[in-house]
Amino acid sequence: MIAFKQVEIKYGNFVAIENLNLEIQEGEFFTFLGPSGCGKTTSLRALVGFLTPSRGEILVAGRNVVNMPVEKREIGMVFQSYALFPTMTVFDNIAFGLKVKKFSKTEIEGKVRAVADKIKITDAQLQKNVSELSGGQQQRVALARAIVLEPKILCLDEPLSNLDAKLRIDLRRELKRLQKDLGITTLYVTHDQEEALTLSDRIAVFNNGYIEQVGTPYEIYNHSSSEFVCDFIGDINRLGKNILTEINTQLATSFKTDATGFVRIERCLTRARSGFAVLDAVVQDCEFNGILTKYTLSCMGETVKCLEKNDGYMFYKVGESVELYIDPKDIMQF
Amino acid sequence: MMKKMMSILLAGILVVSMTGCQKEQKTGEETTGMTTGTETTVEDAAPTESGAADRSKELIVYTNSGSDGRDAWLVEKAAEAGFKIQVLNMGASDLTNRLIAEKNNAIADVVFGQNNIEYEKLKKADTLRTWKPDWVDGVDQTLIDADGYYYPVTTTPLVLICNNEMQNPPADWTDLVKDEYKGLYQIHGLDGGTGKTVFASIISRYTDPEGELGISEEGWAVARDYLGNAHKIAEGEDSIGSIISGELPMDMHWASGVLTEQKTRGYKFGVMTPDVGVPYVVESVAIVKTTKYPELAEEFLNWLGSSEIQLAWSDAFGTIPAQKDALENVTDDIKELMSVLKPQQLDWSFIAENIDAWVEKAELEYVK
Amino acid sequence: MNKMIKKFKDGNVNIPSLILKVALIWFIFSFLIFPNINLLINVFVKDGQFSTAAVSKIMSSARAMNSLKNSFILATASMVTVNISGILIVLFTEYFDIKGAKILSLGFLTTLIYGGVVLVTGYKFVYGSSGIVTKVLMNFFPQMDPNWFVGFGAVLFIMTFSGTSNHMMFLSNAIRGLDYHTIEAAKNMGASQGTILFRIVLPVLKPTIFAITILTFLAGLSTMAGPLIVGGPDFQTINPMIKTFAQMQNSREIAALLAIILGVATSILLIIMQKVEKKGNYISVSKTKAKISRQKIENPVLNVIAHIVAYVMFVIYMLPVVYVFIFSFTDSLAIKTGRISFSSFTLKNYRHLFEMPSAYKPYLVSLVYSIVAAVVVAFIAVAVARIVTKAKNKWDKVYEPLILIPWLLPSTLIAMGLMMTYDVGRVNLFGKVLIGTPVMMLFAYIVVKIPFSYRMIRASFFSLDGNLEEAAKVMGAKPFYTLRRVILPVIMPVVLSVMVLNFNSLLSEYDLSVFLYHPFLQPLGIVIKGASEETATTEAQAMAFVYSVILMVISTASLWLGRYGGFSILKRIILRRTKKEAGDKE
Repeated sequence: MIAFKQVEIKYGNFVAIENLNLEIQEGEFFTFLGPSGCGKTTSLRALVGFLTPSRGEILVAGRNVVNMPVEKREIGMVFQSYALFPTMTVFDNIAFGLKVKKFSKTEIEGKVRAVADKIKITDAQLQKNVSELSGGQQQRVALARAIVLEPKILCLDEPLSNLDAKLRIDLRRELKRLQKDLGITTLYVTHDQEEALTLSDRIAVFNNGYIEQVGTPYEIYNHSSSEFVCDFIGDINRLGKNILTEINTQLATSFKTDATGFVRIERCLTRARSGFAVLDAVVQDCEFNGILTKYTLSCMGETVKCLEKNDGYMFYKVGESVELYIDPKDIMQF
Repeated sequence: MMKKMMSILLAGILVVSMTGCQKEQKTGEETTGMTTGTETTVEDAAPTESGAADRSKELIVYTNSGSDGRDAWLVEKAAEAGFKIQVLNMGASDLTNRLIAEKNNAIADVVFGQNNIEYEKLKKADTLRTWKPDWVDGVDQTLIDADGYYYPVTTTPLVLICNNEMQNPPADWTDLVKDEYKGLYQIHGLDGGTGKTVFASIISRYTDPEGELGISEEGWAVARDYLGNAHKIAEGEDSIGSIISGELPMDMHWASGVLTEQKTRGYKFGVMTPDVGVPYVVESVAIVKTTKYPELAEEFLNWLGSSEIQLAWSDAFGTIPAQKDALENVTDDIKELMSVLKPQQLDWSFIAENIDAWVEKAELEYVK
Repeated sequence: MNKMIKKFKDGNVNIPSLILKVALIWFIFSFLIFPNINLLINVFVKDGQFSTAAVSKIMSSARAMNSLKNSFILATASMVTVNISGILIVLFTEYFDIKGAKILSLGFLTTLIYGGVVLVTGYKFVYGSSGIVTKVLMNFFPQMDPNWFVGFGAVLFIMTFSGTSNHMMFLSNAIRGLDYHTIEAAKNMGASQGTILFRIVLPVLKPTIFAITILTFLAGLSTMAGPLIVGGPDFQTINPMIKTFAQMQNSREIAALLAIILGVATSILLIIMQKVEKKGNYISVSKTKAKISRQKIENPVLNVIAHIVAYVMFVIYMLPVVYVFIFSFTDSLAIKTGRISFSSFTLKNYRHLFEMPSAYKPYLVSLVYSIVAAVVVAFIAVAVARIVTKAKNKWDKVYEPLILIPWLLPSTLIAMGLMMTYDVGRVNLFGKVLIGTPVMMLFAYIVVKIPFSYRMIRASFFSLDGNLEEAAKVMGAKPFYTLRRVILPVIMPVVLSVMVLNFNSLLSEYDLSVFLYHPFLQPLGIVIKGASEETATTEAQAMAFVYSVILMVISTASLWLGRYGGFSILKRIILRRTKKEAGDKE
């Protein structure tokens, strides 16, 4: 559906994106994830047409759109600031694109109501001025406005970042449902890895103008392809020479001992598992947050964190000696 | 970048100015062609028989004497006489500037009311045409332009009026520079007709072909003191009130205005009557060079300058007609004032030629 | 070049915008650049030789040097005092909780409805030798000079209280746009009211204050009526002198040179201001803004002082207007002398106005010219502001300095430049002669109002959320459609304010009109000025007051319509009526 081929984007002399190659399938929920300034929004804006790449091609349905005007690309977009038109009512905001495309009055009325219905915007809200709405409601309007034209592609640039946590989770869920209903190819930009993991079919992790890794949430999370990815996408333990040597001896594995080994903290366990390496450790700190308890352990002169589900056992006390179990399959080395 | 832009800009200006010049030359030829043509007809036809011109055409009159309903009066009286006119009133120097700027495409057909200084400028800028009114014999021949461009209809003496209780008033304009009058007399700005004419009448007494701008050193000293010691009337200031209150007991004023003020305020001013006389501003009429209806314009001015109309004009607005037989029938107030005044002999062409430079020097160096 | 051709092939070149840019270039060249350069050439090159006589003439003129000095003193001093009074009145009406703020703001808005000679004369009525303030003061200090209201102090006083229009128009807007949360946050962190005002509120207003300061400085440099009427012999400024020389055929090079000196000083100031402005600009980071609520001054002493200052300023603002209004009902002698007795009152002036067959025509002429000019100026300012703020290449940025050119020249010179250039057919105007046509003055009106309008509208473009435009673009809107339906509605309050200010100031414009008006279409300024000419009778001077009062009424109406929601109120009334009618029919 969408393909970036050797795309390079420059701001003046600054290279924001260097040789971007990426393919996105039809109907896919695809996320650009990365810290700010990594080039994810830049890539999105190039697809939408606000930026022209200095090199390379961007294909949509097999056609190079690099020189195609924005309005011909049939892409819907939701902005971080929503960019709702402050002087118009909710209805007029949603109807804007339809009016531009010269739909008849009745058609506009019908389409706006249908979309409003789908996104849970009430009739009363439709007549309000956008500035009278709350943040969450504004977000819905922005979304309705983006999909009312039935675009082939929907682009969302950090759409939830201005909302509070609870609302964000609600809207996230709705967004996912809506996307599946519409079956629309969706590009989502975010710096929030949780959002990326929950929503996406596939994720591209950006760093400094490069893509570090493309993959399903599972792949990205459990089989990160670089230190940056596994660090960015969740909590990680860094295993040093001592631990890695011990694991190699115990299980006859062949981890490089002069390089760091990475393992997710929830994959480090304190209850016995077969086939895992067993290491002696002492509890340094303990954080209980309800469902989970996070321990900081000292193990062979290194610090390892581990995460235990509340399973009915008493918590370990600080200073207590425990056994630490690590599955060698979970260790990532680059 | 900057260089490139500058050069493009300059090139653009050059192109446009050159085409402008070409056009100018062309229109110039056209107008000269036209005027030579009409000039001959004027010579042939003069003096014009009345009723020869088509009176359905409208004449545009530029005047500096149209305020206070004078313009409406003129339109009405002209209509009664069968002339269709539009009167446009503006300040004297605005009028001159405008006519000169419009030189190639003037809206006006005739000019009414400007003084000699302004007419000399208009004449020099080649904006007027020669003609001769049928009433020319009725006016003082010394007031007539020798080149035959403009002819007088009214005269306005400029006088110094003072508080009637003032002890020892000055006998001549040049007395004002004396210390005893310092800061006590008011003058109008040199950009206006009154101030300019009085100033010219003073310093043109000190001609010296060797001196700066034709004026002797003594003349410039007088100018310096005359302007430096004066109180310059500010916009909106009640100068007449200051005379009556005695605060600033002297002010220059035009004769017809003096009479109106006397009536409005119920006060009789003292009037200075110098031996050399006072400057008489002569208001004249002329025909604009580019007019499409020269015969009609001439016919209209023959009517306007006639003693009958000038008398009516005087009765309505207190002006002093140039026509001798009209002057005999004006109101007693005017007669009384005129009996004590006499015109100062002034070399108008010398003044017209130099007045701008004098004023410029004065404005830069002497005006406070 | 190849890139261009490729763009054409792809249909990627925006044809309307290209046409617009070409039209703007044509306009700027034809009316801003060429006439002025042509004038300078005409003025300085005599008989094919460049003449520098003007320089030595000016250098040796003590009066010119003094006037120049005075102009700069006045501009600099008024920059400070006008900002103080302007910021104060805006704080009193928008920020602090002052009792009767609504009425106060009506008084402070009076500077928007009258100006120039009428305003200064109004002040002279109040503070002059027979004015009420002088009379009161004389009771306490019998020794004082009744003509005390003269010179630098008097001029500065008038400037201080009459130059605050831009504050009322733009600074109050900015205060209303403040995010109240920032104030609450500061309070929460224990900041005192003073700290909040000086560290939070004023810094946020800085860009607006900067823009206004530039305008104030320029106004101070070019002020005319103040020094002429109350400057006295000791405080004359340069602009009246420029005008005097500009009107003298052979002294124009002096006028031009003086104007150039002012222009150079102005450009230096503009450049400095622009640099400073760039450095100190902020971008509002607030995502959700809270509406500002008025701050009660906690310190009781300060609160009382603030109330007293606010009401004293109110009286200062109102007195001249009231005087002009009262004097318009008096006979001419009262106006001349400034003394009123009971018998002075008359309705004759007003009757005279309505009886005069030609009385309403100047109003009509000025109304049409001012409306058309205000609309066209707004259009050009919006177009250029958009091109500049969206500048894709260096060429697009060139519009900005070019469009500010009229700021550097006094209007008299602009008028003369146009006259001396378009008295013959020029190729850029397709050989049309402009002199003597009604459009001549319209072009001049447009030219002089462009820089101010551009400056104000550009500021509003900068504060616009860029995503708005992109959002419209994604939905398929063409740039012009976006501008019309999305951008313009958002910046409309500023555009309307600018239009109202332009309209009001053009209504009685004189400096340009006197050179350029079409003889059949005399604008108001000419008629009013004609009434105050030295040759005009006292009757005519009384008429000038009547004209001014009616002008004030028109200006007030336009202010209400353009800025205080008059249009929407009217619309609502009309809608309600039509609805009611429809209901009646049923």
